[in-house]
Order: sequence, then C-alpha cells, then structure tokens
Amino acid sequence: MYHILFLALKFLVERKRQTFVSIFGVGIGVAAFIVMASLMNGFQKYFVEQAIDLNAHITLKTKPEDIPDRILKIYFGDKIIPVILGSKPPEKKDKITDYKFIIEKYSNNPDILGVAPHLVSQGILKYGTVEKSGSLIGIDPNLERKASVIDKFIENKRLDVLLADENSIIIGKLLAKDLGIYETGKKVILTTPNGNTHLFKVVDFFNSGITNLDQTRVYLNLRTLQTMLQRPNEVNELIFKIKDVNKAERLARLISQETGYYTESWQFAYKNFLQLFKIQNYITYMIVFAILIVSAFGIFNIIMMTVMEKKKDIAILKTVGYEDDEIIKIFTFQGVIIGFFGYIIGAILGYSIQEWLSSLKIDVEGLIRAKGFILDRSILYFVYGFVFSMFFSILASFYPSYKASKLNPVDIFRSGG
Amino acid sequence: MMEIIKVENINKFIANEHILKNINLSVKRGEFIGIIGPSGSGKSTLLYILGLLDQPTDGKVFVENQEINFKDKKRISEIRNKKFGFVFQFHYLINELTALENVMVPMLKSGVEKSVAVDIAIKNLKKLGLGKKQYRRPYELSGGEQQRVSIARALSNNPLVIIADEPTGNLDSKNTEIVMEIFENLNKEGKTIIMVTHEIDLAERTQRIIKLKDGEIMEDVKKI
Repeated sequence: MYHILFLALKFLVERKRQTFVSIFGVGIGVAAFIVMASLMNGFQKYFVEQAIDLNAHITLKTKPEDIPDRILKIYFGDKIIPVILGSKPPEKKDKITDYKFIIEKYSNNPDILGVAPHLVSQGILKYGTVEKSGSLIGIDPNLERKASVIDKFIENKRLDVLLADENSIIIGKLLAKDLGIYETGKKVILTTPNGNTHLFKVVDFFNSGITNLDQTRVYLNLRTLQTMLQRPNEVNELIFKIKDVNKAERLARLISQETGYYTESWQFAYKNFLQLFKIQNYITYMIVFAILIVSAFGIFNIIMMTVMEKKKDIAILKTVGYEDDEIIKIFTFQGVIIGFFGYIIGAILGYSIQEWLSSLKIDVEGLIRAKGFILDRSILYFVYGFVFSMFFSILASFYPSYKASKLNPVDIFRSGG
Repeated sequence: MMEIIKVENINKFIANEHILKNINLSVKRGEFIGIIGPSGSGKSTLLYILGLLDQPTDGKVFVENQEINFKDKKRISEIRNKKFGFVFQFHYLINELTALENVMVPMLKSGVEKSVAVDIAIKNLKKLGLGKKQYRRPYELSGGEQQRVSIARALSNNPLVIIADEPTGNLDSKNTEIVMEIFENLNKEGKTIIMVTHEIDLAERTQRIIKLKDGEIMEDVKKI
C-alpha cells in the first residue's frame, strides 16, 4: 500500500495549484452542507418543538360538517370543480357535551399525561382607541398546566392570577405591542362575537417566539369566557398531552374511535408546515448536492488531466509490474486525498461559520422570533459531510483511474511516448 | 545452460498485418543477444512479447520452462516486476520523483522495505556513476544520465534478464559507449541481456545476433 500512497501523493503535490482549488471546492461544498443543514434543521426543530409544546399533542373537537362540495365530490369524484350558490353554513353549536367524562377517562391512561378543556372563540380587544382581533381561549389553569407547557411561555409566570381574578387576561406579546401595551396592569375591553363586552386587566404576556401565535393569542378564565359567550358549562375543544409525541397520530385515531369526536394530532395540525419543511429540505439539499457535484467535476478534471499527462508514467509503471487495480488505486487515492483534505477544510470552515452565526445577536423576525440564528449543531452533519465528500471524491476519480488502468504500455512505447 | 525464455511458433498480427511469422527462439541464462533488423521487421514486437508486454496472436511463450497464460495478468505483472528489467529508447522516468525514487519504484511494488530499497537504489546508482546525483529530478540530468538511471531502475529487483529496446537510440556516441560498457559489464557479471538495435556495430558487441526481416528470423548467429 505504501508504494500506491507514495506515488499518489507525489503526483498530487506536483500540481499544487489545481490540487488546492479542488480541495477548496470540496471544502466549500462540505461547509455549505454543514451550515445549511444546521441552520435549516435548527429552525425546523425549534419550530416543531415549539409547535408541539404550544399546540396540544392531540386536539379533540366536534366533527366538522360535511360541506356541500364535499358531498358532491363523494358522488362525482375529485375531478369536478363544484360551484355551489346560496349555500348557508349549518347552525350547529360546536359543543362537547360529555367533556368532563372524557377528561376523567383519559386522565388515567398511562400514555396520556394530561387533558384540559378549552373554549375557543374570537374577540376584539380595545386599548384606548386601538382595536385588534384575537383568538380567545378560555382555560382552567390547573388542568392546562398538565396538558401543555403554557407556563414556559408566560413571561412573568402569573397564570394562577386567572384563577384568583376572573377579570384578568393574558395576551400575546405582539398583540400587546400592536395595542400599545408594554407593561402589565393595563386595562383592555374585550368584545365577544355575541356583542358582550367586559373590562379586563392584563396580568401577563404570552411569548412563544412564534409570530403568528404571539400576535393573536388571548388567555382568560374558562368560566369568565363561558359567561361572556353565554355558553355556561360548555367547551368546544379538549387538548391532550401525551408521553410520546410520535404516537400522537395513532392515539388521536383511537380517541376519535372511542369518543366519536373529531381528533387532530399535532402532525396533522402542522401538516402544511411539515410539508413546507420537506420542500425546503429538498431545495436545500439539491443546492448542496449541486455544489458537491461541481466539486466532483473539479476532482474529475484534475485526475483526468493527470492521467492524460501521465500516460508515459502509467506505461512504465505497468511495465515494471504495477497491476491494473494498483493503477486505479494510485489515481483514486488522489481523489480520496482531495476529498479528505477538502472535508477537513470544509469542517473547520463550517464549524467557524456556525460559531460566528451563533454569536450574532440580531433580531430574527418571521415565522418565528429569536435573538440570533437557531442552529442545530449536531455532530451528524459533520459525519454526513465526511461521507458525502468521500463518496463524491471516489466517484469523481474512479472513471479517470479506470481509464488509466486500461492504457496499454505497448501503445505508448510504439507511439514514441 | 538453463533456458530463461523460450517462444514456440509465435505469430503476431496487428491490424491484419502479419508482423511476426512463426518465430522460434530460446534465450539462455547469461546470454547477451542483439536483435537487429530494418525498421518494421518486427524486432520491437518480438522484444515486447519476450518481455510479456504484448501477447502473440498464436504460439507459446515459456519463462523458466513454465508456459505463460496471458490471461493471468497478475502472474504476468509479477514476472515483469521480479524477473525482467526494462530499458527503452526514451528513459520513461517519472518527473515527480528523484533519480533515487525512480530506481525504488519497482522494488516498492515488489514489497521490498523502504530502507532496503533505498540502500539497493543508492548502490545501483553509484555503480552506474550517479552516486552524487541521486536526489536530482530527471529533468536535472543529461540524456546519458537519464538512461543510466533507467538502467539502475531495470536492475533494482535483480532481474533474470534485461530487455532493452534501442537503449542507445537517443544518445550521442559518448553516452552510447557508456551504456554499452554497462551492458557488457552486467553481462560479464552473469546478467542475461536482450537488446534490440538497428546499429550493426552495436549488435556486433553482443554474443548472439538475431537478424529479423519481414517478421522472420533470417539469421541466428552465436559468437564462440
């Protein structure tokens, strides 16, 4: 093996410039992969974790009504475009009648950590002259704690005030900002869809980091909201916290079968985002793949050029006894060496960029809000980077190496070398 | 004397042209053979077949009384590495390597330890008058010196036979004389040499002259 490595290194070192460019090309590809993967997955994991924490693992609701176009599609298939004129939404209350029984039943289930009732509605909040709409959620703080991690997102941990003071309210941090509220203790007027109004004191802020939620969410005491909406003892949603979040879909189906209500797992609730992330992953990995392909062509070029220029040397090596597979190894090793050092440079570069990005304290505002970039700094990306760089390097150098091994020394000698 | 290489009824066609016609030849240990003939007579083709670089279209080749199976490439590579040493008209030295490293190349392939290979290479280079130029690259040496490095490389695995294809074809008369003296001395030490040349006076310095014409052996003369 020494004689193969010896010659591979000698051939490579002689072409310092081209070798460096190829190594750098692989390095850029590896660094791009590490940084993009950690950024993308960091964001996605953060989002999913927050989504899992914030939105119940399983939500139980009343069954959505079959709307007329869905009925038409049952008979005529998905290929029709139904146009229904004059259809009126059904007047049916989204009421879960036996919710206390359901809570009791599933509270003892070993797979379920907690169940909490919600009364969900819409409302208008008014502070001074500013009016903003919000998603009202009436909660029982004690049960809510068991079924979610709401405390994690309540800035001053004053959730219990909702129990003690029925005129208290917790609003989203961005909603508060939109209303012009920057501190607790301010009074807001809440108007519900049935026209009732009530004065509330803002006792805390809900700050999840997910822009959409922080801009709309309003928590208040379940009983207070029931009174305002004139729906005593009614809830329209139950949330479940389960031990293993990956079992959410299966458990949701089971609960639906047992209760007859419609259930939704967190995966279903966020399926649009999860689908979006999949597409985002495809695009990112395609870009990284393209960078690595370009690097591979760089390696292919340098090895192919070496083979073309080294025909005489290959001829003499074969003459003195080097076998075809040894010739392949000599040239493939050059690719492997480029790939390896490319990986080292790429890993160092990728790590440095990760360090730099994580040190930045800029406000990131979008789907999520954060101070700086959220990175998933898994060692796995470095492992994958190594595998990819070696795979592409071997792939790119194999064909020229194979061509080299098939050179006939007699042809070279006859042509006068 | 023991037969080192023997060919029986070999023919070689290249692109429908009959290059070698029913050649029978036996090379014995310690011989210094000069193969001579006009251009296109098939002398280099015969040499390549004797050196197992090329295979005959038909006929048999024996090395140390064992028939060569040209499909067994591993065995052929091993024979070329351990039993044959090659010298060509052009030196075919690897420019990225020093003279010393070039001489080491066949030894490293045959598994000789690096330190041993270095010692042998230095000894061979000194023997050929290149002791002080062992760390020079081929392009830093004269034509004659380059050819001497390639002879040192041919000697590195202490081969049974040295196969030389026009080894002086690219050299001036002074270097030609040096190379011929090296061959004569090697032959005196017992080394078998097969040399192709088109210069009759060089062939005259060998012990056995094989004259080829149109792919056939016209004369096979041994000096007493």
